[in-house]
Amino acid sequence: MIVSLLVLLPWGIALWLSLAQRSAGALTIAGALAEILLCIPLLAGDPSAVAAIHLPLLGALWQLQANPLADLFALTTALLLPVALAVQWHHDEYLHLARILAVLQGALMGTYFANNFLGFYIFYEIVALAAAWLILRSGKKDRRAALTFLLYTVTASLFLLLAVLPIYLNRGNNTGIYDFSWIQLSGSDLSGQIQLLLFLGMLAGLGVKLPLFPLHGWARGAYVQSAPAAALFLSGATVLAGVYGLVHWAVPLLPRGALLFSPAGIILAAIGTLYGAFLALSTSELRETVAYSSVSHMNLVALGIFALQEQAWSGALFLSIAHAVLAAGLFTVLAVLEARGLGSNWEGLGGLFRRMPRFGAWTLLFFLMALGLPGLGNFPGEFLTLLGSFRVLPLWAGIATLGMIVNLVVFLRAYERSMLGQINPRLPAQIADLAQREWWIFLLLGAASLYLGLGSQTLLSDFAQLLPVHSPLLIGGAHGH
Amino acid sequence: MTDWLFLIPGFPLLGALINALFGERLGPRRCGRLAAAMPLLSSLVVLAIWLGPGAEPALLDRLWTWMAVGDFRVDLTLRVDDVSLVMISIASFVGFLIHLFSQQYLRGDYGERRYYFYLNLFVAGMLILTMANNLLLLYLGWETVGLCSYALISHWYREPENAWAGRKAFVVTRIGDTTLLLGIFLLFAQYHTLSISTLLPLVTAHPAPALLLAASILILIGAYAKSAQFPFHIWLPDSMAGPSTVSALIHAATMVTAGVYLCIRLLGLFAAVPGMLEAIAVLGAWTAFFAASCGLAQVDVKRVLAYSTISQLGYMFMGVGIGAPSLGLFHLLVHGCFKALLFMASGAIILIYADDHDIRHMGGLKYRQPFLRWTFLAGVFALAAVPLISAAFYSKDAIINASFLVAGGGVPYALGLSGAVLTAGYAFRLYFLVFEGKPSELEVPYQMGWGMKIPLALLAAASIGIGWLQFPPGWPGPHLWVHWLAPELGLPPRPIGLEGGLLTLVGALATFLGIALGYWAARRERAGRGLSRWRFLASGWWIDGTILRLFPAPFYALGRFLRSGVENLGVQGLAQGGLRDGLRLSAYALARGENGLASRYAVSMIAGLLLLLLLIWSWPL
Repeated sequence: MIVSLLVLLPWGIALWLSLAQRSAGALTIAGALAEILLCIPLLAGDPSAVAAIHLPLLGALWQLQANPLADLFALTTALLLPVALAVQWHHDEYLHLARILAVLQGALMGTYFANNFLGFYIFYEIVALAAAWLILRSGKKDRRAALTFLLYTVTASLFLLLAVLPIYLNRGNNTGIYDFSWIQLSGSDLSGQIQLLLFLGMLAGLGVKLPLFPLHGWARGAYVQSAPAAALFLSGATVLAGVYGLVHWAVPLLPRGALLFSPAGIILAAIGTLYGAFLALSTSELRETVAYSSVSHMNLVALGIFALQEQAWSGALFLSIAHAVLAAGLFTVLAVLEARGLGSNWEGLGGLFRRMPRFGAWTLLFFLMALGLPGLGNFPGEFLTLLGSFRVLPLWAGIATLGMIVNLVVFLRAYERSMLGQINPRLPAQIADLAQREWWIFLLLGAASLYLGLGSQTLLSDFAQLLPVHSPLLIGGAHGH
Repeated sequence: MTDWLFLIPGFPLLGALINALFGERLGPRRCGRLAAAMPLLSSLVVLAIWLGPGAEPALLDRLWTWMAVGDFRVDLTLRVDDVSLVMISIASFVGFLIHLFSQQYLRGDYGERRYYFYLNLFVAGMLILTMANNLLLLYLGWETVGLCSYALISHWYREPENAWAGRKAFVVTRIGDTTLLLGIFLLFAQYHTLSISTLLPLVTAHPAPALLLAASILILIGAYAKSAQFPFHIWLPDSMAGPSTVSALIHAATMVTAGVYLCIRLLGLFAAVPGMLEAIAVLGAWTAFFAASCGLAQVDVKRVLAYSTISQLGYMFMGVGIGAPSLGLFHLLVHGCFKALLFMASGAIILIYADDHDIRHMGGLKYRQPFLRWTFLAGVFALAAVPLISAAFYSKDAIINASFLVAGGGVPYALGLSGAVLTAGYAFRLYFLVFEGKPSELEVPYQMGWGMKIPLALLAAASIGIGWLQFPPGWPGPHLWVHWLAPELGLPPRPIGLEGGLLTLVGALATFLGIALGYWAARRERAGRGLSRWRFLASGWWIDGTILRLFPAPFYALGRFLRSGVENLGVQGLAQGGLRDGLRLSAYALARGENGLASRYAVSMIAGLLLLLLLIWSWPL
């Protein structure tokens, strides 16, 4: 029951906001907080499940079930929404943004909990649609960026659907039961070659969301052109749908294909990690820096998943959650700049620390998190991912590790040009330092980052119990130890 | 039980936290005092170890599990044995003295609170680094001090050069950090543990030659980058952009010695690789010689000391490499005292000359500042290793002499000894130029308070007397050091009898020759014909410039190529264009209106799904 509520509550709020058409900040915040509260019983281990809309030959379409990974991702998504709302709080378009974000949040909850592939697919499409809508209606309202995003995801998800069909038919032929539920689809006896082909298909559909190199073409437009609060939620939460799809659907459904693809996947993701870092290096636009470093981090997540190795998996899942905190922090930094009309190209900044020391200090914290400083949230994920994949393919994991040097240059240089040095004469004489609201957002995110960075085990021990659920492959050997 | 060890890094960490959260309300003065109290409390706990249980057997304090996945497990365990006891004593006590000195030195600075935050965080990081029993925890401390070094070098961030110098330091050391991380990966892949006390016996019992060779080279690069060894030394001279107290703490007494400490910790690993220790000895001696030669030609008072630090660290590595790690550690302690003294004193000198760093503009300071002169001279004595009455005579000369006894020690001995001549040379050149001669008119009156004098006096006393802990073999007097450390580090080779006497004499002659060289160099410098005009030496053998010209550019070029060539043309252009052409009709339809976009997409999605269902339902089963 709870899992259904998790989807329906945000949708209900979105509907109410559409019908009422008046300012309702309190309602959106209350709804977001209620969503967080709803996640808590799940973490306690409530195996809540519902099944409705039974269709012949397809299974129950509205079939939602809690599982440990979904619970964690749901909580992350739920926690991220109030942050996005708080970042956008004083904005004229608050109501509009809150409405789309609520739709997006409900759909994301659906993708995490869906136990029927068609249900997952529909939720996944709604996510894409809502995300495109978000890009279209927020920030610079760039139609081109929204369209690019939509075309990427639509084309990709076509592959996703086509790749699952043969599995469905194979299982149906073997068992006589035609059903799209997870348990029915897993365990197909397709040959390795076919599995590899189908895995590539699913990867095309899911990798776009990450975005996996070279499917990241939409990322720059989406993250740069939309409002910071929107980009925050897109890069923090929406990408989780892609990660979840890979971990919960693609790999368990096609274990042999995943194993065959593993070396190529590691190489591809290692290239993507460095590629993102290098692109972040070659821009003076902070938004692009943030966008590409997000691409780089998500490719590292993919690297960990492809490695099919215990530590790498835990690291990748850890990193995807830490990345949500990081994205929130970095896009809040951009939002603060935008709220003061400062622009985000460092050519127009410089010496800002002197005018905004509090802002400068928090910015440094999140930049340090992004460059993988131990003690902050990203490091355990990056470390475990690289350590684990190093045991599988040392050369390429080692190459991906070199990305840490590039990342350092990227963020220190960005910090130096925008915050340090002499005050840029083009800056206005009076710039307000952080407001209370902004300071609290940073404080909470910073605390979360430190907690992830030093108390990493609380999260990692959760992964230990979910690994056998999602990937019997890892336990049975593959690249285990 | 020793579950109070966490207090040692805990106090400065708490100080940093209080400063970060409430510092604005407390104000810079109280932040400063609070910050100074924290390393004092830590050093009292350290003192309690010295007076109380001692560190044999090693003290342990297990805090909590940081990460554990499968066979990988890292506990936050603090460990104090004799070696780390020395290190935490330096970090906490010298750290305290420098905090004390800063109270007056940095009063009224525009970033006082920020300064104390990073200084406290730095001490905490250094203590964690030295107390870590696990390579990953060590790495946590390692990166924390790297961050603080960056932030403090860039302390006066309003000058772009300072911000750049901080970044340069962080980037160069990060290269080493990354190779260190790769070394850690290799060791873990082979031995399934990162706990140092578990790892080393495994390495000895099951050596894997190729892997160990790779791992030790990678780790050594990390140590060299951190300890500013050739050719990774290029960041240290520029790091002098930070306040002198920062140079004293980070770039003399503590952080830069972390690489030496790591080598001492992992000695078992390096010893398992044939030829590795010999290489460390030769490279160390080479760095000692090379940097000393550069020191002779510098005109910035702090750059002289920076090259001196690089050179002295080279001696420490040499000590480790020739199988005398306890002497290396001894010199680390001695150097920590006298170089912290010299850096702090140079800070005062720079204030007196109104922020002028150029020693050619100085002179005759001994008349107005006798206290500064005598304490500085004590440091110069120690740096030059003046026989009998300076600490380095008992530590640095002991290393050079020991190398003579080791097989293949000829090259390190020759380099080390000629380095010693140059060392005494640049040390006394600096002293003569600043303190002797006619008083310079640039001098402004400056009164040092007790907060500045006490640290200088204590460190001056240590620079003279701390060497008496360990006299050369056969001499009357205490022989405490090497025997105390022998259970952990073994006994170093030490010349005895006639051979020992002769080697000591040669070492002493080298010092006196160097003093003469320094006198000569100072006179020429005064006359405007000094070694500083020799660009080759002054620029550090052109190494910094060469590296900066060769290495960063290709990376930026690659970035630009990937951006314009691959991303803009390929990914954004071709793929996107192709995608759009392929879907031109639907794209056109979709782009007609925002509301149309959503609804049309929804319609087409539903239609697609229905088509799919139709397909499935009509499938001939």
